[in-house]
Amino acid sequence: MNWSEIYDKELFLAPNCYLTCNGYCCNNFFGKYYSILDKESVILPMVDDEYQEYKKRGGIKNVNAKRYSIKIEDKEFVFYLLSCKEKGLCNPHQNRPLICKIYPYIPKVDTNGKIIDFNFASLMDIFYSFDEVHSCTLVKKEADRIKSDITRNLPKLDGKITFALILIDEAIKNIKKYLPQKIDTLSQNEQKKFIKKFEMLMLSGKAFKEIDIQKLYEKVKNHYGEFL
Amino acid sequence: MQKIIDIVSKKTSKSFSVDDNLIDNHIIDSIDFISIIAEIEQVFDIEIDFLELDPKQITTIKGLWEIVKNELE
Repeated sequence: MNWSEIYDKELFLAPNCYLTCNGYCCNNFFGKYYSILDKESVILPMVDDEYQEYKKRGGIKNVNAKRYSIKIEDKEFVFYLLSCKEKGLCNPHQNRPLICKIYPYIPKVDTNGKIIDFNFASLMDIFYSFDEVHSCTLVKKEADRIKSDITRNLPKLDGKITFALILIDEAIKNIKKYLPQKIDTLSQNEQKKFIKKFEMLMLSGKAFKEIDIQKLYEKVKNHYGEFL
Repeated sequence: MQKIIDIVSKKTSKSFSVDDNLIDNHIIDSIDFISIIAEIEQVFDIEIDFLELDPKQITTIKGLWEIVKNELE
Protein backbone atom coordinates (compact mmCIF):
# COMPACT_ATOMS: atom_id res chain seq x y z
CA MET A 1 0.00 0.00 0.00
CA ASN A 2 1.52 3.29 -1.03
CA TRP A 3 1.02 5.33 2.16
CA SER A 4 3.26 8.10 0.92
CA GLU A 5 0.92 8.62 -2.05
CA ILE A 6 -2.11 8.67 0.25
CA TYR A 7 -0.57 11.29 2.53
CA ASP A 8 0.54 13.39 -0.45
CA LYS A 9 -2.89 13.84 -1.94
CA GLU A 10 -6.51 14.52 -1.12
CA LEU A 11 -8.83 11.63 -1.88
CA PHE A 12 -11.79 13.92 -2.46
CA LEU A 13 -12.45 17.62 -2.18
CA ALA A 14 -15.04 19.18 0.10
CA PRO A 15 -13.71 22.64 0.86
CA ASN A 16 -15.12 24.29 3.98
CA CYS A 17 -17.70 21.55 4.51
CA TYR A 18 -17.08 21.90 8.27
CA LEU A 19 -18.78 25.30 8.16
CA THR A 20 -22.08 23.58 7.36
CA CYS A 21 -22.14 21.10 10.26
CA ASN A 22 -20.30 22.74 13.16
CA GLY A 23 -17.35 20.43 12.52
CA TYR A 24 -19.38 17.31 13.26
CA CYS A 25 -16.69 14.84 12.10
CA CYS A 26 -14.04 16.10 14.52
CA ASN A 27 -16.27 16.56 17.56
CA ASN A 28 -17.47 13.80 19.78
CA PHE A 29 -21.05 15.06 20.00
CA PHE A 30 -22.33 12.11 22.02
CA GLY A 31 -19.21 12.08 24.22
CA LYS A 32 -21.04 14.13 26.83
CA TYR A 33 -22.84 10.92 27.81
CA TYR A 34 -19.65 8.88 28.25
CA SER A 35 -18.64 7.74 31.72
CA ILE A 36 -15.30 6.14 30.92
CA LEU A 37 -14.35 6.85 27.33
CA ASP A 38 -12.88 10.29 26.80
CA LYS A 39 -15.65 12.86 26.36
CA GLU A 40 -13.56 15.16 24.18
CA SER A 41 -11.54 12.80 22.01
CA VAL A 42 -12.18 11.08 18.76
CA ILE A 43 -10.30 7.81 18.39
CA LEU A 44 -8.52 7.29 15.08
CA PRO A 45 -7.27 3.81 14.15
CA MET A 46 -4.42 3.09 11.76
CA VAL A 47 -2.48 0.00 10.71
CA ASP A 48 1.22 -0.04 11.54
CA ASP A 49 2.37 0.72 7.97
CA GLU A 50 0.25 3.87 7.97
CA TYR A 51 1.61 4.78 11.39
CA GLN A 52 5.19 4.58 10.09
CA GLU A 53 4.33 7.04 7.30
CA TYR A 54 2.39 9.29 9.69
CA LYS A 55 5.30 9.31 12.12
CA LYS A 56 7.88 9.89 9.37
CA ARG A 57 6.00 13.06 8.45
CA GLY A 58 5.98 14.26 12.03
CA GLY A 59 2.37 13.36 12.83
CA ILE A 60 -0.08 15.88 14.24
CA LYS A 61 0.71 18.11 17.19
CA ASN A 62 -0.86 17.13 20.54
CA VAL A 63 -2.21 13.82 19.26
CA ASN A 64 -1.05 10.75 21.16
CA ALA A 65 -0.82 7.28 19.64
CA LYS A 66 -0.87 3.93 21.41
CA ARG A 67 0.21 0.63 19.94
CA TYR A 68 -1.97 -2.48 20.07
CA SER A 69 -1.66 -5.90 18.53
CA ILE A 70 -3.65 -9.03 17.88
CA LYS A 71 -1.74 -12.32 17.91
CA ILE A 72 -2.49 -14.57 14.96
CA GLU A 73 -0.54 -17.83 14.93
CA ASP A 74 3.08 -16.74 15.38
CA LYS A 75 2.40 -13.33 13.82
CA GLU A 76 1.04 -10.04 15.09
CA PHE A 77 -1.45 -7.66 13.51
CA VAL A 78 -0.26 -4.31 14.82
CA PHE A 79 -2.42 -1.20 14.86
CA TYR A 80 -2.41 2.16 16.56
CA LEU A 81 -5.17 4.19 18.16
CA LEU A 82 -4.73 7.95 18.11
CA SER A 83 -6.64 10.08 20.56
CA CYS A 84 -7.44 13.42 18.93
CA LYS A 85 -8.95 16.49 20.62
CA GLU A 86 -8.02 18.98 17.91
CA LYS A 87 -11.62 19.44 16.73
CA GLY A 88 -10.68 19.93 13.10
CA LEU A 89 -7.71 22.22 13.79
CA CYS A 90 -5.16 19.44 13.31
CA ASN A 91 -1.74 20.74 12.48
CA PRO A 92 -0.35 20.07 9.97
CA HIS A 93 -3.66 19.24 8.32
CA GLN A 94 -1.96 17.24 5.54
CA ASN A 95 -0.75 14.73 8.14
CA ARG A 96 -4.22 13.69 9.21
CA PRO A 97 -4.82 9.92 9.11
CA LEU A 98 -6.51 8.08 6.26
CA ILE A 99 -9.65 7.63 8.35
CA CYS A 100 -9.97 11.44 8.51
CA LYS A 101 -9.13 11.94 4.84
CA ILE A 102 -11.95 9.67 3.73
CA TYR A 103 -14.50 10.63 6.39
CA PRO A 104 -17.53 10.13 6.32
CA TYR A 105 -16.89 6.71 4.75
CA ILE A 106 -14.53 3.76 4.87
CA PRO A 107 -14.50 1.14 2.13
CA LYS A 108 -16.18 -2.16 2.67
CA VAL A 109 -14.03 -4.71 0.81
CA ASP A 110 -13.97 -8.37 -0.14
CA THR A 111 -11.02 -10.60 0.77
CA ASN A 112 -9.33 -9.59 -2.52
CA GLY A 113 -9.33 -5.94 -1.43
CA LYS A 114 -11.98 -4.93 -3.94
CA ILE A 115 -14.29 -2.15 -2.76
CA ILE A 116 -17.83 -3.53 -2.72
CA ASP A 117 -19.60 -0.88 -0.66
CA PHE A 118 -18.98 1.63 2.13
CA ASN A 119 -19.39 1.78 5.88
CA PHE A 120 -19.54 4.95 7.90
CA ALA A 121 -16.07 5.86 9.12
CA SER A 122 -17.20 6.75 12.63
CA LEU A 123 -18.86 4.13 14.80
CA MET A 124 -21.27 6.72 16.15
CA ASP A 125 -22.46 7.32 12.58
CA ILE A 126 -23.75 3.81 12.05
CA PHE A 127 -26.81 4.44 14.20
CA TYR A 128 -28.68 6.94 12.03
CA SER A 129 -31.96 5.89 10.37
CA PHE A 130 -31.35 7.51 6.99
CA ASP A 131 -28.64 9.51 5.25
CA GLU A 132 -31.02 12.50 5.24
CA VAL A 133 -30.92 12.81 9.03
CA HIS A 134 -27.17 12.31 9.30
CA SER A 135 -25.28 15.21 10.86
CA CYS A 136 -22.60 15.23 8.14
CA THR A 137 -23.53 17.43 5.18
CA LEU A 138 -21.52 15.25 2.81
CA VAL A 139 -23.61 12.21 3.70
CA LYS A 140 -26.81 14.18 3.26
CA LYS A 141 -25.91 15.84 -0.03
CA GLU A 142 -22.87 14.32 -1.71
CA ALA A 143 -22.74 10.65 -0.78
CA ASP A 144 -22.47 9.27 -4.31
CA ARG A 145 -19.80 11.73 -5.41
CA ILE A 146 -17.68 11.14 -2.30
CA LYS A 147 -17.89 7.34 -2.60
CA SER A 148 -16.98 7.48 -6.25
CA ASP A 149 -14.00 9.81 -5.60
CA ILE A 150 -12.67 7.57 -2.83
CA THR A 151 -12.99 4.49 -5.06
CA ARG A 152 -11.14 6.23 -7.88
CA ASN A 153 -8.40 7.88 -5.84
CA LEU A 154 -7.53 5.29 -3.24
CA PRO A 155 -4.42 3.31 -4.28
CA LYS A 156 -4.64 -0.48 -4.55
CA LEU A 157 -5.27 -1.95 -1.11
CA ASP A 158 -2.77 -4.36 0.41
CA GLY A 159 -3.45 -7.39 2.60
CA LYS A 160 -3.05 -5.56 5.88
CA ILE A 161 -5.55 -2.79 5.17
CA THR A 162 -7.93 -5.30 3.55
CA PHE A 163 -7.77 -7.38 6.71
CA ALA A 164 -8.36 -4.27 8.86
CA LEU A 165 -11.34 -3.09 6.79
CA ILE A 166 -13.03 -6.50 6.94
CA LEU A 167 -12.37 -6.65 10.67
CA ILE A 168 -14.10 -3.27 11.08
CA ASP A 169 -17.01 -4.36 8.89
CA GLU A 170 -17.52 -7.51 10.97
CA ALA A 171 -17.34 -5.48 14.19
CA ILE A 172 -19.95 -3.03 12.86
CA LYS A 173 -22.30 -5.93 12.13
CA ASN A 174 -21.83 -7.19 15.69
CA ILE A 175 -22.34 -3.73 17.21
CA LYS A 176 -25.60 -3.35 15.29
CA LYS A 177 -26.71 -6.72 16.60
CA TYR A 178 -26.40 -5.47 20.19
CA LEU A 179 -27.59 -1.95 19.44
CA PRO A 180 -30.27 -2.12 16.75
CA GLN A 181 -31.87 1.20 17.74
CA LYS A 182 -31.58 4.34 15.61
CA ILE A 183 -30.11 7.19 17.60
CA ASP A 184 -32.08 9.94 15.85
CA THR A 185 -35.36 8.34 16.93
CA LEU A 186 -34.45 8.26 20.63
CA SER A 187 -35.31 10.82 23.29
CA GLN A 188 -32.43 12.47 25.15
CA ASN A 189 -32.86 10.09 28.05
CA GLU A 190 -32.93 7.07 25.74
CA GLN A 191 -29.85 8.39 23.97
CA LYS A 192 -28.01 8.51 27.31
CA LYS A 193 -28.85 4.85 27.97
CA PHE A 194 -27.96 3.94 24.41
CA ILE A 195 -24.54 5.59 24.65
CA LYS A 196 -23.89 3.91 28.00
CA LYS A 197 -24.54 0.55 26.37
CA PHE A 198 -22.38 1.51 23.39
CA GLU A 199 -19.59 2.53 25.74
CA MET A 200 -19.69 -0.76 27.61
CA LEU A 201 -19.74 -2.65 24.32
CA MET A 202 -16.60 -0.81 23.22
CA LEU A 203 -14.83 -1.33 26.54
CA SER A 204 -15.56 -5.04 26.51
CA GLY A 205 -14.22 -5.50 22.99
CA LYS A 206 -17.18 -7.86 22.55
CA ALA A 207 -17.85 -6.79 18.96
CA PHE A 208 -14.32 -7.84 17.99
CA LYS A 209 -14.09 -10.95 20.14
CA GLU A 210 -16.94 -12.56 18.23
CA ILE A 211 -15.05 -12.38 14.94
CA ASP A 212 -13.28 -15.50 13.69
CA ILE A 213 -9.98 -13.68 13.20
CA GLN A 214 -8.04 -16.81 12.25
CA LYS A 215 -10.49 -17.60 9.46
CA LEU A 216 -10.40 -14.03 8.18
CA TYR A 217 -6.59 -14.05 8.23
CA GLU A 218 -6.54 -17.27 6.18
CA LYS A 219 -8.97 -15.86 3.61
CA VAL A 220 -6.98 -12.66 3.11
CA LYS A 221 -3.72 -14.65 3.03
CA ASN A 222 -5.13 -16.88 0.29
CA HIS A 223 -5.28 -13.86 -1.98
CA TYR A 224 -2.34 -11.73 -0.86
CA GLY A 225 0.06 -14.32 0.54
CA GLU A 226 1.56 -13.68 3.98
CA PHE A 227 0.79 -10.05 4.85
CA LEU A 228 1.63 -9.75 8.54
CA MET B 1 -6.90 -8.38 43.80
CA GLN B 2 -3.11 -8.15 43.52
CA LYS B 3 -3.22 -9.47 39.96
CA ILE B 4 -5.50 -6.58 38.95
CA ILE B 5 -3.24 -4.10 40.71
CA ASP B 6 -0.29 -5.52 38.77
CA ILE B 7 -2.14 -5.23 35.46
CA VAL B 8 -3.05 -1.59 36.14
CA SER B 9 0.44 -0.79 37.42
CA LYS B 10 1.91 -1.79 34.07
CA LYS B 11 -0.12 0.98 32.40
CA THR B 12 0.71 3.85 34.71
CA SER B 13 3.53 5.35 36.69
CA LYS B 14 1.07 7.12 39.00
CA SER B 15 0.25 5.84 42.46
CA PHE B 16 -3.29 4.74 43.21
CA SER B 17 -5.41 3.02 45.82
CA VAL B 18 -7.95 0.26 45.24
CA ASP B 19 -10.80 2.75 45.78
CA ASP B 20 -9.55 5.39 43.33
CA ASN B 21 -11.57 6.01 40.21
CA LEU B 22 -8.87 5.20 37.66
CA ILE B 23 -10.39 7.37 34.94
CA ASP B 24 -11.57 10.42 36.90
CA ASN B 25 -8.23 10.59 38.72
CA HIS B 26 -6.35 10.35 35.40
CA ILE B 27 -4.43 7.29 36.53
CA ILE B 28 -5.06 5.64 33.18
CA ASP B 29 -6.81 6.85 30.04
CA SER B 30 -9.79 5.21 28.41
CA ILE B 31 -7.72 3.52 25.71
CA ASP B 32 -5.53 1.91 28.38
CA PHE B 33 -8.70 0.87 30.14
CA ILE B 34 -9.77 -1.23 27.15
CA SER B 35 -6.50 -3.16 27.17
CA ILE B 36 -6.65 -3.57 30.96
CA ILE B 37 -10.08 -5.17 30.66
CA ALA B 38 -8.79 -7.50 27.93
CA GLU B 39 -5.83 -8.52 30.09
CA ILE B 40 -8.00 -9.12 33.16
CA GLU B 41 -10.24 -11.42 31.12
CA GLN B 42 -7.20 -13.26 29.79
CA VAL B 43 -5.43 -13.62 33.13
CA PHE B 44 -8.52 -14.87 34.98
CA ASP B 45 -9.84 -16.79 31.95
CA ILE B 46 -13.28 -15.20 32.21
CA GLU B 47 -15.57 -13.21 29.97
CA ILE B 48 -17.20 -10.28 31.71
CA ASP B 49 -20.68 -9.36 30.52
CA PHE B 50 -20.20 -5.62 30.41
CA LEU B 51 -23.57 -4.83 28.93
CA GLU B 52 -25.16 -5.58 32.30
CA LEU B 53 -22.74 -3.46 34.31
CA ASP B 54 -22.71 0.14 35.43
CA PRO B 55 -19.62 2.02 34.18
CA LYS B 56 -19.01 3.38 37.70
CA GLN B 57 -18.69 -0.21 38.94
CA ILE B 58 -15.66 -0.96 36.83
CA THR B 59 -13.49 2.10 37.25
CA THR B 60 -11.92 1.12 40.58
CA ILE B 61 -9.64 -1.81 41.36
CA LYS B 62 -12.08 -2.87 44.07
CA GLY B 63 -15.01 -2.76 41.66
CA LEU B 64 -13.12 -4.76 39.05
CA TRP B 65 -12.13 -7.32 41.66
CA GLU B 66 -15.78 -7.71 42.74
CA ILE B 67 -16.76 -8.42 39.14
CA VAL B 68 -13.93 -10.92 38.69
CA LYS B 69 -14.85 -12.66 41.96
CA ASN B 70 -18.48 -13.00 40.82
CA GLU B 71 -17.38 -14.44 37.49
CA LEU B 72 -15.06 -16.95 39.19
CA GLU B 73 -17.72 -18.18 41.60
